[in-house]
Amino acid sequence: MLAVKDLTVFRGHIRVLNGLTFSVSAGEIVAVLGANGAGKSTLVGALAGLYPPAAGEIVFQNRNLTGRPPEAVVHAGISLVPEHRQLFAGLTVRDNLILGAYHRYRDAKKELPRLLEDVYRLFPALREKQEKPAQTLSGGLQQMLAIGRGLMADPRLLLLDEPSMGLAPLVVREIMTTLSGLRAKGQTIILAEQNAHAALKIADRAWVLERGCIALSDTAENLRQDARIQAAYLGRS
Amino acid sequence: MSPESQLLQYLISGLTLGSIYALIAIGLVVTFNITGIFNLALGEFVTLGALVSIALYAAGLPLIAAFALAVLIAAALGAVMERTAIHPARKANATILTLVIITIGVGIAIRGASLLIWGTHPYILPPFSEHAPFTVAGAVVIPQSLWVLGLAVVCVAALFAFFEFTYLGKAVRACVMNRTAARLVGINPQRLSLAAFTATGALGALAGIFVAPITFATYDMGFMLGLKAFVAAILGGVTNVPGAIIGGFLLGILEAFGVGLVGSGLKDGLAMIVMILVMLIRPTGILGAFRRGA
Ligand SMILES: Nc1ncnc2c1ncn2[C@@H]1O[C@H](COP(=O)(O)OP(=O)(O)O)[C@@H](O)[C@H]1O
Ligand SMILES: [Mg+2]
Repeated sequence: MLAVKDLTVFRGHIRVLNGLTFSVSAGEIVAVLGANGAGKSTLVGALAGLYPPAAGEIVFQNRNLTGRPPEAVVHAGISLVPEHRQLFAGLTVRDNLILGAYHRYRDAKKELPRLLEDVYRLFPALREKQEKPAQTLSGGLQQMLAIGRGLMADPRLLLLDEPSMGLAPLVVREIMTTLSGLRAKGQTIILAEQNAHAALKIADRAWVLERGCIALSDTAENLRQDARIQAAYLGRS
Repeated sequence: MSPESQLLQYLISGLTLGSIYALIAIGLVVTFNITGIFNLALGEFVTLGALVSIALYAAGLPLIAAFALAVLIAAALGAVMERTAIHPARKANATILTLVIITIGVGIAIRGASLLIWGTHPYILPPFSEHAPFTVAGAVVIPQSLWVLGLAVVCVAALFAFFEFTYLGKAVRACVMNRTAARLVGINPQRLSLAAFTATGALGALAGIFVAPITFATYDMGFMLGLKAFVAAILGGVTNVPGAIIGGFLLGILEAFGVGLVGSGLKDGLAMIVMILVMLIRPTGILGAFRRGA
């Protein structure tokens, strides 16, 4: 479904991604692991169109998206739930959600109530807060809202950037369970996470980014057992 | 005229002036919120609204048709300005300062063209209603003042409804709050920038049409109005629409009282004094703060 070839991305003068080649198939969860600063955000951001690649190619469902801006990429079916949530802080929960459907608003106008309902069923706590400004929510709810907004775009491929950041373990587990549930319904997901432990629990496969390259790529199952991963990312020895 | 009537008279003329400043200031703030730049050519759209509708009316069009066409022309010019001057500069990574200077340049060009077309003498637009001026508690009210106030009220209500209740209005606010997130859901800031220049061009023209029967219309009428609206916007905190409205009315009233109680020499200087004082004492404006900053 997604085929990326030789992806090279600069942030300022730094070459953050150094010729990455990979592919993602429909229906799988791929975790992108790596230390802080490894380039996880840059990778998912580049896939979403935020950072135009200096070289390489991004092909999604047989469409070349290389160098396309985010507003075109979301239309093509890739939706990013960005790092730090990036909510529309002053707007209500409900408005944040319906704006998630912006790129297809004209077609989806009539379906909006049903789409909202789907998100509220996924995250019931959001329903109670739907008239509250997004900025008044707790961190966990804000993350759920960010995911809900991403889903409102009806993506074929959902990108998530560190959904566990700053959240209590219980909330992280709840969110990971939800993602796992989405996958069960056929949602394809790329999950960038520093929290390898949580990500490997739900992922099918994972890559480990190091200095702009994919240092390791294997099934989640194998990586969970991998001594290098356990030492570096899972806090065991 | 009793002193009370005199003060009421100043208040009425202050509210009239203030309506115009507020309308233009709204245009400045909305554009600033969406694009991050001040369209300092906006005052010239006020001029164009007045002069173009006068010319069309003189050419035989009914007054309403002349107004509508003048507003459309100003809107189209706003769009052309964005596409030919702002958009390419932005593509070339121009700084905010460069972009603002470009708007000043466009303003000078429009003013120059107006001077060539219309010369320096004033033109007259008939008041919208034939009704004679009337007195309220001893103060004279000209009906056109009510038209101006009415326009301000209608525009403010319409803008409020747009931003508060419509999907597109919320999308615009979303873009102002978080540009990156807005792009991620598919909102195209460049298209909003085009819409902002177009809509505020029309708004400026509308203000010019309504004020022309009171002030006469000259090729440079918009320059001072635009500058004062800019002061009103700063007074209101730059990013804040309600602040701009309050700033506009405050400035209008201050000016009317200053002129009435001290002398007409104060008319234009007062706005500049206000701007300097705001910058020194409370650079975030009377309401709100710089949310976009530099
Ligand atoms: N705004 C930026 N400007 C320049 N360089 C940046 C910027 N953001 C990140 N970088 C660089 O890109 C590298 C990768 O960052 P990022 O993709 O955010 O990593 P991760 O998400 O894995 O923590 C960082 O080491 C940093 O040097
Ligand atoms: Mg990151």
